[in-house]
Amino acid sequence: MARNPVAKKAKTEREFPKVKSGIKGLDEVTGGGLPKGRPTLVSGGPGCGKTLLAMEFIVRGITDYNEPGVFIAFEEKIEDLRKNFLSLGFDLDELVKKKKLVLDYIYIERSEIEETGEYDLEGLFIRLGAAIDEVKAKRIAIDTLEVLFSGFTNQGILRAELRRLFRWLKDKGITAVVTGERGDVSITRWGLEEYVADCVITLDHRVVNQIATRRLRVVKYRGSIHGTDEYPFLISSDGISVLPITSLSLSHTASMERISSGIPRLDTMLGGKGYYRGSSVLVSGQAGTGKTSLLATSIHSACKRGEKCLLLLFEESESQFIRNMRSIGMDFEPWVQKGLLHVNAVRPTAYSLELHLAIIMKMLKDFNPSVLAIDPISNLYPVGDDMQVRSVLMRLIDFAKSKNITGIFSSLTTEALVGSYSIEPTAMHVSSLMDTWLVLKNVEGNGERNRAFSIVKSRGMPHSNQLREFIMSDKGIDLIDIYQGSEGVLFGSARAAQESRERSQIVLRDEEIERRKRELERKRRIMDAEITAIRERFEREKDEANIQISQEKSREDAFAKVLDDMATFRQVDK
Amino acid sequence: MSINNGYGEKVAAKQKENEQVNLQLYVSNCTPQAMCAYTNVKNICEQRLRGKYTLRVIDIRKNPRAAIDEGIIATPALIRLFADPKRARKKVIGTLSDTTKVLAGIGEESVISGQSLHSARSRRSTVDR
Repeated sequence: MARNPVAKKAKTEREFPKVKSGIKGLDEVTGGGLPKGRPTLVSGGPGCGKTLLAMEFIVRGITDYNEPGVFIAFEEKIEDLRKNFLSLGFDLDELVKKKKLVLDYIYIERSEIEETGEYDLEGLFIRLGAAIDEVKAKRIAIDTLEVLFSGFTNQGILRAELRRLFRWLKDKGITAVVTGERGDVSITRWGLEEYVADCVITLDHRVVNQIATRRLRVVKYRGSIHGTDEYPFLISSDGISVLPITSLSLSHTASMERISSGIPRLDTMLGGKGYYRGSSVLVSGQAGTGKTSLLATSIHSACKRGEKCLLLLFEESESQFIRNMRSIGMDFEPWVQKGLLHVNAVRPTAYSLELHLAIIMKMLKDFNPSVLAIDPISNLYPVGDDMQVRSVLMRLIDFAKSKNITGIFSSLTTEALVGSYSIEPTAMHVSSLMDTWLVLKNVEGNGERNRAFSIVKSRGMPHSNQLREFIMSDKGIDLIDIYQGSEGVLFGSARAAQESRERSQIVLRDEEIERRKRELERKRRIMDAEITAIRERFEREKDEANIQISQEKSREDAFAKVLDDMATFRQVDK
Repeated sequence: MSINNGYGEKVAAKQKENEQVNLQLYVSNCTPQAMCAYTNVKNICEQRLRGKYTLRVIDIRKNPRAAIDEGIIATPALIRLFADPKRARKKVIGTLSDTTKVLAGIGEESVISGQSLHSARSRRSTVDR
């Protein structure tokens, strides 16, 4: 029993043939299918899908792998089986007609059996043998073998016969699925696991927070590696689908194409070009920080480019969303009418997580959008626990990526961390799935509340590390530089006030300069006036001096003339 | 036992007298179990139902269709065929070593009480594997 499956891996891959069950996801969980030519036990409580799993194994075997099968029912009559499976799209009659399927109902009623002495179950063998030979079956399902235990009282004989039955099936090389009712202490009520030792799968139908979840687990698989977790599975209109959390390989090709976020400034912050196509974007933030608006802007811009978008609303109705987005200048009505936008508004608690996933995947397949938006993913938390939400999102994101669909998801974070920039634990779990993580925060201060925006991460592109103020107006969303200066980091009106303060200081300084200039001018004018006055005085004095000089000169001339005249008079010889 | 001494018993006995007991014994091969069952049922019939029974042995290996149609799971199995096909019939399975159970199983309870003195002897006389 306690073999190390990992150590044997290399060997078993060659030695251990497996048969694909054809059930979605089960073959991934079991590492390739059920053990070929050996019995597999499927155990579970009532109503958890044992019969369906067994039947789907048979039907898929016929339709997908051309392996005829036999279904032996101990509990349900053939007519009931036909009706039940017709509703799941399995036309059993058709397969029976084609000689690919044998349905056999074995009726065992305790009150009609009188035991006296020893017996064997040769009749059962004959019956199984006849059914197998009829279609040359490669697969058989027995649902539920344990009815034998209620029909026959001699457990010693029964156990010996069961052991013989499984050996007989193995010898025939038939891959069998045997269902059994879950027991209180053992895997099955009658300990069938003792005989079916190769592969044991348990099914479970649990109700947590009033929401039912089906889970599947491979308890044991001899000589093979297998997933050991509990995997959620769902029963939908086309049968069982198991959702293996880790089975999808990360092999999608990454697109180099960039798409705009719808906010020019945000595109600038994201290396100037916006998101990568096919990437996943998480917008987290507290209540009322504008997550929905940010998400809506990206959708709006995608619709403007003519791309199809699928929007899932978990909080608002479609008309409420459209009305609210009009208030920030975006009208989604035309996109809905053009068929570019498909809005699906539903309460998260309406169905279980896996059903949500199944419905979303179906919509993605049918609508084939290029952008998927969910607002908000955090509302899924009441439906499932952290692990489950994460697994569902992982599956969804992987699926979206494989289809090159850009995913934009909003997530509400708790109010407890107002004003701080520490990273929230809830978003942490999901964030590793995301390529780009945008965080919106409420910043309180100066008696008001403002929105701060930052990019926590964005894989594969240079991105801004700066905080921006996130402003919503009737023109849409804008990202504004926050004030970073001598007064610290300021938001909102404080930022505005600081900016106006700075503006007024500049005005004051300019005025001072003007005043100085005027003063200087005035002084120059005074100087000029003084110079003029001095010059005038000088001129005046010069004039006076010249007059005096000329007067003196004329006086001298006159005197000389007098002397000359006197000499002439005196007849002075020359 | 006392209930069989009443009025009802007479009526039942009267009906039984007219009715042939047609038995089928389903076996698979000549296993010791099959042989044992055959011997036992033969003894019981000879002792209690002499002259008014038929016993047919069917080997389901040779005739699987019969086993499937009759819904035989365990062998050896003894079934009484009634004229009325709707009447519920019991399968008595095993080596048929308990005469009382066998007779009850084929609806011949009256024979058990009617020859109650012999029952201890007859039980001893049946082969037990």
